[in-house]
Amino acid sequence: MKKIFLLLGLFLPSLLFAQLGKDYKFTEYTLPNGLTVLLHQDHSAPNVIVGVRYHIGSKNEAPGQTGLAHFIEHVQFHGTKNIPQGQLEKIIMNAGGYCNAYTHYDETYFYQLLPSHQYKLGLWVESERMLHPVVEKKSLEKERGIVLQEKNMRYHKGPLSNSFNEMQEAMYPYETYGHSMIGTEKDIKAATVKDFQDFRKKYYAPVNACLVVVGNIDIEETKKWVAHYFADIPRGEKVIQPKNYKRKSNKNVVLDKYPKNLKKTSVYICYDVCPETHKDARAVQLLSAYMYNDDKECTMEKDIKDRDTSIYGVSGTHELWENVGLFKLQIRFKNDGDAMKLVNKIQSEIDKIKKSVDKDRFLRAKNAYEYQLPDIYFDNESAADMLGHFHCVFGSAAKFKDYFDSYKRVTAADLERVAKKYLNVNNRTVIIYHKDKETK
Amino acid sequence: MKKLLLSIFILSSFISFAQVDRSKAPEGDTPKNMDFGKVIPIKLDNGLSVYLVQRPGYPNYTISVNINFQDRDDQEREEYGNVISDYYYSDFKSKNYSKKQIDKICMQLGTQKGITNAGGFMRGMKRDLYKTLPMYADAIVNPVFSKKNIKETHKKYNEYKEKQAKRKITNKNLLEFNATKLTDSLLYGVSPKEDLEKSRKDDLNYNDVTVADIVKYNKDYRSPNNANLLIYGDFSVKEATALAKKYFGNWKKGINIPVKNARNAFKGTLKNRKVFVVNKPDASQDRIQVNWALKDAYAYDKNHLEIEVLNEIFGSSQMSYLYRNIREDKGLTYFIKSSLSGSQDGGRGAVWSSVTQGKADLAVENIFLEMMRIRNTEVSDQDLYIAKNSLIGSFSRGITGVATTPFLSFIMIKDTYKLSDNYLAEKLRRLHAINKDNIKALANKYINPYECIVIVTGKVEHIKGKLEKFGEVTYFDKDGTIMKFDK
Repeated sequence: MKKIFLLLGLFLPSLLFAQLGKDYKFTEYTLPNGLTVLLHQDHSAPNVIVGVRYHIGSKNEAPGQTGLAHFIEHVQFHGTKNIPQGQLEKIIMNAGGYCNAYTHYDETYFYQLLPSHQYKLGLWVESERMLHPVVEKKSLEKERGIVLQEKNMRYHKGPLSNSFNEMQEAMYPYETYGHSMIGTEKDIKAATVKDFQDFRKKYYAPVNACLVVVGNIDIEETKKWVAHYFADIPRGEKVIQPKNYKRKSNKNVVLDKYPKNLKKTSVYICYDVCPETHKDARAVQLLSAYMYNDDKECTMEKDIKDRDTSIYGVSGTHELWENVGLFKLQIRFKNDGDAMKLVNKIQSEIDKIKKSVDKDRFLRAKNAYEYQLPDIYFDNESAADMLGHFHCVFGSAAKFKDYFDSYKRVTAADLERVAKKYLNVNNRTVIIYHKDKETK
Repeated sequence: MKKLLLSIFILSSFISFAQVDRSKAPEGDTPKNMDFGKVIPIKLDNGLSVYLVQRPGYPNYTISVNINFQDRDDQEREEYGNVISDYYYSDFKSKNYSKKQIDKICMQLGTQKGITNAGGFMRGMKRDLYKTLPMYADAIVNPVFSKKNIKETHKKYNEYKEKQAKRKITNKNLLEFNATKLTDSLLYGVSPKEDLEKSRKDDLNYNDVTVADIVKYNKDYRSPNNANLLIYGDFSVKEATALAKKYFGNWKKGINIPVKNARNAFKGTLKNRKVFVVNKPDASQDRIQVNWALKDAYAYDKNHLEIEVLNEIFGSSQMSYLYRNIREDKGLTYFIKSSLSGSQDGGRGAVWSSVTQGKADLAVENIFLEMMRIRNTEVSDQDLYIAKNSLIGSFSRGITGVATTPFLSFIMIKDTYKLSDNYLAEKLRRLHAINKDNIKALANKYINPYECIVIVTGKVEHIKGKLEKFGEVTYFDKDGTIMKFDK
């Protein structure tokens, strides 16, 4: 009997933790106009997050209109039919709130953090923004300047600042994931008020959106106020998502680039992996953590650097989107070197992983994830973000409940498997950024 | 019948919301609950102050020990503290564990940690807490010092001295002309020369430092009665108490270091308004600073939240008097800001801005007008509402979710400023309760346009002769030499 208790004691903690995510309670329903509503009640919080997520992003832009989704996010902070120009943010701030937004390839998300007793204000503002935002020429011009500055700051600061976009362009069709999210300067400069009105009318409608309210709310009362502000907004047309996502080549692609003022040769290697929604996605993410993490003694950087003194640093990351996924490595030389020799060396290190993943190292990577993930469920701002994201991209907010467990299920064998499946020469695009010989 | 009743119910629930009035923003509700930021105090027999912040269901934890010896008046030799500090930065060995062992296990378990002479933190999954906590506690409670530690610190100190000698670092710049020092001297009685003397440390002597000295110093001052412990996560009071007792209960009590006096007697002497102009021939704007003393407004005094609200209304936010007047109405500046803060030497009030060249007089005049307005007229309901909301919102955002920083910051200062254990939990209620009378009374007491210093830095040719209406004006060149002009 004692042994049974002991065994129970040993397993109890893991049984308890297994409930994380699964126990996350939220209410989901759809208004007659097609708007999905997601509500989560947390009486321990002093705040409420009100967010509206549109399943619209840069990949929905037509060629010649790149950057429009991001640009429209900016101008929708100016005002609406009932909120005078320049007052939208002020109204939220004056109530003690904070607001922001982001746009990427797949989605656009507007959100506000408000003291809980002010949540109705958040609903009103977002319903105004959905129903009748006002885009004036003056505010458009102001934001055009800001967006161009943002573009300069992010992508033209240094010789490698645009490498993200250059890799996207090298790998995917221009009309979906192959153009930059911020857009070309030419397209940003050409955008008119009519372009905004047309794009907004076409896409930013209840049927393509979900409203998330998370925090210290009463569910039934919130439902009434949601209906009050959102029920009469016209449904709109369901967005037809583009279809062309296939990598441009099924061969090993090597590109040479010669950016001005680059002091050290850098090599970017990128493999076309799976989208975020694919069953392999978690294993791909953990494979990235397995290869690159905070443990300086235990990373691919150390494996490579120990054998090659010409290397300054190795780093890596992954970018998983709704329809595509990229597994990236960046290698910087101390000065210059034989880039292709290095690429082959990296490939041979990866080929070792395909045969055998170190179990201790795998456990470290997994534990680091397991430690960080619970915060997503306990921090309402993150939870609101993820609920909407799962609804739009995964097609079901309920899948958020399995998010934590989906990492826990990954095994070392899964890492070997996804490395074999995706990290192959013919699935690879390499960009070699050669140092500028004129620059010292 | 049932269906009919249901329909009536549904209909009635919509009737009350039937007319959508979109033309104006909905009113905020009255907050139902304001008890956020609760901290549960637990005291151990050895004097360790434990504070528990409960997050039910949260599978992670944070444990943080904070030894306050650095924040208190400390008469002992600096060398001892330096050796202990270096010990924790090097590959230390406590009684039962080495740093390498701790690093390895923490990395394996995904536990984050930082262990220093001032305590440090450990964060991880609660399921692993009892695997790592013995090591963390041992590293803090049972350091083992050796001659090697003293030698290493001595070596570092010698290297530092050599570098200083090579660079010929002097404190000369502390005595160089700076208009702000005039302010400090006149408003708060702070002497730059005294400051220089205070900052000039005597040469340290490691030759006669022994291991026994370090052990004694550590035992006396790095002790539980001079420390606090934050436990954050899914813990009951019983579990937190048991945990604290088990791992920190045997930590031996040391000498109580008296808490530093957070209130020095006010030494300011200014009785009128003074204006200083500093010539900056290459300036493209006129930089304005207005400074005055809040005298008895010490940090975290009973009125400090009211003073924060007053500051929001006066000049700290985009809806403030100063911002609306000088930026929005007159268009003289991109930014203008005020600050009203409590400090050890008495509170400090300030306004600062950079304005269009040649318009400093107009800006200063309007700053004084706004100072008079907030003293003489009642603030509007709307201004008070916005100011309170802004502070309520930023406090709420800070303590929400799994943020530990506000709790750590609080327990680190609570003894110094004699704050109650309920300080955070009561803050929202206190902010909500502030009314217009509070603000009017404090504005009269703490916004002082009569005894203040105005410093304008810019091209003197655009400023000369325009500021005399505000008080006696002294003109300086950039080196601090008084400028004379022909009449």
